[in-house]
Amino acid sequence: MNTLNFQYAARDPIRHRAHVGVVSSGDLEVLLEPSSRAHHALVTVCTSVDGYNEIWKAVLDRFFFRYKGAASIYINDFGATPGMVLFRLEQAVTAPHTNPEDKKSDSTDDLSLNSFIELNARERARTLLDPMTFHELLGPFDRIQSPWLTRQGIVPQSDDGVIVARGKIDGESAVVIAIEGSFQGGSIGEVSGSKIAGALDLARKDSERGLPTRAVLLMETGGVRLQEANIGLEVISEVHAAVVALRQYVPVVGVIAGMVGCFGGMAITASLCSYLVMTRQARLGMNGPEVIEQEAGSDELDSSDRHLIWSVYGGHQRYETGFVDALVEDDAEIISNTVREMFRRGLPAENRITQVERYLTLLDSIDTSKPLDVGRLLERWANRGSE
Amino acid sequence: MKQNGKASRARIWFEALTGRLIATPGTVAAVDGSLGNETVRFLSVIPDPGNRYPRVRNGEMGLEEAWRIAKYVYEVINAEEHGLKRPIVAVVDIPSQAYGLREEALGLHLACAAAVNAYATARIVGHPVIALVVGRALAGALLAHGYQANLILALDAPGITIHAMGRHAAAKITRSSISELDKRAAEIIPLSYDLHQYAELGILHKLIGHVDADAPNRAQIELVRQELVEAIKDARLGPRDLSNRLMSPGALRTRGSSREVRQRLTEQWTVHSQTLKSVS
Repeated sequence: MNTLNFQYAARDPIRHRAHVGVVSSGDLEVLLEPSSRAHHALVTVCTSVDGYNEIWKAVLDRFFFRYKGAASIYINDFGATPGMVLFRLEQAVTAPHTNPEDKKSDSTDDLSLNSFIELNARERARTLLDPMTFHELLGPFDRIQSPWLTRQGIVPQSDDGVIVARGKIDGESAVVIAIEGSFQGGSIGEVSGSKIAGALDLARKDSERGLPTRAVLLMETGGVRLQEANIGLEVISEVHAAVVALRQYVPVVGVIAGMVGCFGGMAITASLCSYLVMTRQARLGMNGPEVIEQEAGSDELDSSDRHLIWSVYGGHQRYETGFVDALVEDDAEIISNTVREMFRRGLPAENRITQVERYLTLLDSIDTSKPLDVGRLLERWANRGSE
Repeated sequence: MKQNGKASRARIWFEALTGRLIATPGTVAAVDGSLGNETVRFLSVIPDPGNRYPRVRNGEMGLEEAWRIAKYVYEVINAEEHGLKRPIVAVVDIPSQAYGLREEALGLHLACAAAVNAYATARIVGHPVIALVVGRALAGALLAHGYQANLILALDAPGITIHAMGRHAAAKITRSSISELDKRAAEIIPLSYDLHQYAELGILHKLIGHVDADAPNRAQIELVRQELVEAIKDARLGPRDLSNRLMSPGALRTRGSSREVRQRLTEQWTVHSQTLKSVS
């Protein structure tokens, strides 16, 4: 990891802030805001690739040859090409509507037939909230990044990969918490996990005071961030505690849209939600296939067998076996409507996680001397909800 | 029951603390024993080398284990009792969750969530929940059996490991050697496999020293029982959420980011609420 600083003469004062891009392979994030010094543009680059100082200089020289805004620019780069860097810089200077705290930027785009999966976490959160109500807390400009990644030479992201957005859903107070799966695989570290647990705890405190605040969790995560191992696991336990506490007052709706899926300790979080929504493109499980193959061998599970993997972890299978409440198309409007429908149901009368006898009876009936027939499993559970 | 020539720590301590031998086969031990002047439910996962689910034979957290833990915790919550709520002590020596295809297909994530939900609910409604780590406390298994406790105690003895991932698994996944892993862990506190460095994070309520974890004598068992009595008292006086872990002296030193996130989030949340109020 390498940090570079540049300074350019500037002419035009700027008034907007903009945040574009994600710290994922071949991409970068750009934070742009008015410079603290008149007639100067200041640039700080944090890059995963060492030894490209001259190229950065050439790219920025070229950009500031035409652009004369007195901007303060902060870049977290994950190996983007010069073309990508220029593209993101152009986006940042020409697109004031990307200011995450600017409510007016709420797009009134036609949501029909828009893929939800293709949206980034911030866009997903915006989609679920009532128009003009999105308000991000601890956004990128607050710059609370992981203190542990940089110490291990890994470029951080200014929001640590979690978006906390307050707003309304069907006119009711709501908080949407969205994990950005393309930053570090959506893994949970100290900052990202504390944002999730902290927001859920605040929703619970409001709810206790008679101001119910419903919560949505958009999960794209492999679980604990290995670089923050023990704190990561601890904050996941804080997330669990927060979901269980909040769920007494208002529904907590989980959504796993894909493409990362939801694994490890966060798969537990998903199951703690009052309602869980998945697409066919999403996967859910405690241990991912690669982890099982590594720990138990390829006789236990061949992680390259795609058919097998999807027949165990895939959204369709998880829905058919009663582990999730709704299976939806990858469509922003459908997902948004489904989440609203879940809240209209109110607190669930019964929850899977308390049906102890039902599941113990089912486990008792499994013949473990034979390999598991996933197809027969579906038949066995076809009459879900009835004993 | 021997594992690699050594008796299971979970079994040793479960039997020592409750004074009862675990006779029946099976992996989850649950007994109401006495501690101080009250009845306490002890729970542990015990290795069962003949278990019909092969992936749990070393004492892992499998499907039946997690659901049974939930069952025995709900029994305590649902029991009609007068007076103080019955405490629950989780005796923890668990190498991992079960890694298996069958486990995934049958919903190990849901089973673990059931155990998490049971322990968390017990804590929220006022049962003191204490985790006592006597061996390994690793990965998802720790989430399901230990981490929802009001207070976590650990023996200060060789063989106590509390970590998000076992050492060998972590080395394989990060493609590093064990020595590289240990070198990184020495510099970055949350990566450490060393119990005292783990304690720096301020998650543990107490380390209990001067105890032979493999063969405790009567005085040592009594010492640990006394510590559990004290912890139950502390839990009753403390919060019913996990906020104490962020207030500890260790957390003040090492978890600045956790605290900063919560503090600034609360500030911004409050300001936003006031803005909404003034608008409406």
